Amino acid sequence: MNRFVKCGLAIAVLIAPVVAQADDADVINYRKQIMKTMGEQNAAMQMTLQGKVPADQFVSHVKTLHLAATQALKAFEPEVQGDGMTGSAKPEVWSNKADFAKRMNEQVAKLAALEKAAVEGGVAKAGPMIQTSLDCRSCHENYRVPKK
Amino acid sequence: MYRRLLTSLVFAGLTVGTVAPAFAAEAQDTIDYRQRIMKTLDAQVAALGQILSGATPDDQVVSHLEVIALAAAQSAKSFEPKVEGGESLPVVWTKWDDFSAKMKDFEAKTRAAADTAKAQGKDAALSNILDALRCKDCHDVYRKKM
Ligand code: HEC
Ligand code: HEC
Repeated sequence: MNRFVKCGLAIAVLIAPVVAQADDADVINYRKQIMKTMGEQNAAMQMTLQGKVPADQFVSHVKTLHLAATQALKAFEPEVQGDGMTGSAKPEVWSNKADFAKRMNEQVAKLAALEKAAVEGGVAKAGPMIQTSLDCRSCHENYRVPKK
Repeated sequence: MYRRLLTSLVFAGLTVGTVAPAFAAEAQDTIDYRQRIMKTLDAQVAALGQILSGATPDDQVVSHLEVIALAAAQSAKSFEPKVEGGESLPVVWTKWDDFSAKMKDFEAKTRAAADTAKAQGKDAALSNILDALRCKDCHDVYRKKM
């Protein structure tokens, strides 16, 4: 093995714990991946309700959405604001931490209830609850910088 | 003479025109749907990748693996309608037996990883997780190179 490679590996091992502290870009990227998951699964779920695709995966989409919301809860805990380029979270996410956390917890609870209804009675039971179960827009209006 | 031909062509075009959008919209819906599911996989694998590289705390591994397993099952279903287009190569449907076998394998292995994580903890599931996430093996054969 080349001496430089060995040296590089040693350094990598040494700095690994530091990297594990998660730098700001990682924190922002992580929560964006989770929100993207919610965006894609919400859109897929809506397509099943609109009759654009078969409804046989409706329950699976609701479950996924619920899980992703629980992931989001954790993902926003680190206080890392975007710089307007890398992320679109407003500073209020952390300056109004209590309200933001309350909303996120409510979103999780509503999706848990939606999942329960979906598992029990499919689209027939859960469909009518959809509108009141999604807080995406109301939270984004308060806590996300609008897209340009 | 020509005019009559032209008229009938235009007419035929119109008839096709009235049918085509409806069909095109349906086909596009099918494509959009499977792409949204693939993008779900992409996002969740990226999140898991950050955890594996040590960039992000590992307390949500079980949840990510469950979402990946759910999305893998969704994607298997989403390719069942034979709608060519998007980034899918026609071989998806001409070699359907192989494609669907790959999908089933993907679905089974991601499900096993999620269940292992729940039953035995994340380390047991992560030890051979890369074997469950052979996204590229399938893309190399079945997805257009962009
Ligand atoms: C409690 C607040 C809250 C709720 C509820 C919420 N979001 Fe978000 N969402 C945010 C914030 C804040 C951001 C900006 C994140 C960043 O860039 O750091 C965001 C960003 C996004 C993005 C953009 C991700 C990217 O790639 O930059 C999408 C898509 C999204 N949310 C979808 C959804 C959907 C769909 C729902 C509902 C099912 C939802 N969100 C519910 C707060 C919320
Ligand atoms: C058995 C085959 C197969 C497996 C396994 C598979 N994919 Fe795909 N993927 C495809 C095909 C086919 C397409 C093209 C879909 C289309 O556009 O019609 C695609 C498209 C995509 C796209 C582009 C979606 C878009 O918006 O156009 C992404 C991203 C993606 N896959 C991610 C993944 C990830 C991440 C995994 C593994 C966790 C994965 N895929 C596993 C077959 C597969």
